[in-house]
Amino acid sequence: MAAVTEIGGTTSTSVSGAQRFFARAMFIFFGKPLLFLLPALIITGAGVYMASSEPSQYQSVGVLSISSETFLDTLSGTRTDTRSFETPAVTTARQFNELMQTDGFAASVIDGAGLGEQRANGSLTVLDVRENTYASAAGDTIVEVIAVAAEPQWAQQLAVSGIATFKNFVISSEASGTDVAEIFYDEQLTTYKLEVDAASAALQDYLAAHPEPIDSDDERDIGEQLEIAKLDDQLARAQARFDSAFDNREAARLATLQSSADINQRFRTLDEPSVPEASLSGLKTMLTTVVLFSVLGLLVSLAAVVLVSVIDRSVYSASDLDVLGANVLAVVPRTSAMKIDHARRLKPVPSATDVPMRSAG
Amino acid sequence: MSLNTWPDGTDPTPASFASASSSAALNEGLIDRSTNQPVKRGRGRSSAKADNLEVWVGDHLVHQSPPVVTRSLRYLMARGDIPTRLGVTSSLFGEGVTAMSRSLASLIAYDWRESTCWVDLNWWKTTHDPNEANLFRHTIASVVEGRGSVADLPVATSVAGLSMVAAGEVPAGSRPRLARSDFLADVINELAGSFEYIVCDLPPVLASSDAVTLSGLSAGYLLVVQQRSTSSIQVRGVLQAMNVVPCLGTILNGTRSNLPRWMRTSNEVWALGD
Repeated sequence: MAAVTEIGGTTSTSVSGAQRFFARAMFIFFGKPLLFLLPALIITGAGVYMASSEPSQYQSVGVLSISSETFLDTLSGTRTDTRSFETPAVTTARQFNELMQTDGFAASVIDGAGLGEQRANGSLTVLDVRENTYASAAGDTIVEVIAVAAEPQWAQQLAVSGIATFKNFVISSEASGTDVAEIFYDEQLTTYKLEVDAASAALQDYLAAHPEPIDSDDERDIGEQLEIAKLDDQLARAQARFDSAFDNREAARLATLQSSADINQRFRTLDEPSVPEASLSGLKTMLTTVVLFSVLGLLVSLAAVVLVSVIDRSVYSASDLDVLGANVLAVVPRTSAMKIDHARRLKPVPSATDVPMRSAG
Repeated sequence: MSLNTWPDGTDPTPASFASASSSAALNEGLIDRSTNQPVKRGRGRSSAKADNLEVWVGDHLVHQSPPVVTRSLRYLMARGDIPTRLGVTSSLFGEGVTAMSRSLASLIAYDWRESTCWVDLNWWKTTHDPNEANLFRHTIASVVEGRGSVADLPVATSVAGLSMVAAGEVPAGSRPRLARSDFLADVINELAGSFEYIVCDLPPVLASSDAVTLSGLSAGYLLVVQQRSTSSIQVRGVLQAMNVVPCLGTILNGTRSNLPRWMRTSNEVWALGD
């Protein structure tokens, strides 16, 4: 404790530098408390305004379970390498958030949510959806797809659409090879079907034009036999090409179905996004905002007091003079009573007429 | 020695102050000028205004010290090491040197019953009371010019034993020469021969270098520091410049604290005034 000495009916103390600085800061603060509290009041007011004027936001959350391997995957060998340093949830969340940065994916989410009209009239922008729809890993295999929107229904629709669009994207990317094959063989089958039909028609037409002899003992002319054999061969070759293309197309379709089933098994929706009942900006959020701004304002005020305490070298206390080696003998409070009212006049008061001189002795 | 008489047996106390010799007035130094009676201390507000130690010259009130001032200065006087020639100065103008020096001189005269002369050596004052100037027929400046003698300088006041000497008007160019002149030293020496205590009102040290020279006429000086007005750098500069006579200490003047009462603890580092 500091040593206390009484001077002039008041208190002076020998104190450490830190105590003296704290005392100066307190003295400066309480000298003009409103001035120093002004930043805190302004910033707190701004916080209150922000908290009260912030529009209501609704949040809908869908929960996905992510599996790195599935039984179908094991049977079919769809994916051969699933090793990664990231957990499946982190990988999925990262992919989702990266895709949301693309206009195409974000627009697909909006359109998939049935909010294309709102996007068209500007009440919902791609930027809004991009900022307020995201995925977050909640463990090694759990991913939360979160959508925040001004309307509770929109939030739910965006969350559902986000999950569906992401699944479709993964399916289409992993099954893109089989899709192409399927389309290719579909085109081929059409061509081959025409060839089969044409060969069949040619054979039928030839047989109609050249019927078999009436007498069963008679044989066809050798020329006819050769022509029929040629047309029959053409039909058989066309049918063989068609059958081969059909088998390939079926193989491609099966691969697509396998991928789709595999992905649906990998990304299982545990919790469907629901329509939120309460807004995010509740009383707790408002209080948090106000408290944060208040703390910030107080820090600014504190910094102002400290700054003034450092800059201002005025003498505030006896200890400031003690530090300089100037011994404080008296401390005189400020008083207006020393000012003389010059208008004050009294009746003449008898005063000493002679100057009291010290006697020679 | 009686507190009310000088060594030669005369009673310097004006008739109107005779009643002030009562113990209450002696202890408090309080005279109600409206009745010229010792103030009976009361509990109400009405008595507070009358609790001033007033200094009158003729019918002109030249100085008054409220109780909060006299109480603080009495602690200073209680140390008992005030030299018979005392200088009071400051760093800058407006720090209350004149008020403090007059209060101190009047308290020495009133409390200690010692003949005291307050001497104004501050020709640099920027504000003068025109009414007060008429009270002093002779000033140091007029004596320097040959109009009057040193014996004409002290003007008696209503406080027993307290006299005052005015500086007068000295051209700015002549002030340094006058401050260093033997004539001024002789004036002070002559006054010192007539009074027990000489309290000199010196100019601000940072406003005039003559303050250093004039301080040599005293045996020590008190530095008046106005709270919030004077910086520690200025105080340090004064202490370094005033190397002619020792610094007896400082008077922290005009203190005010806005701290809440609950924060005014025993280890509070600034002086407080209610």
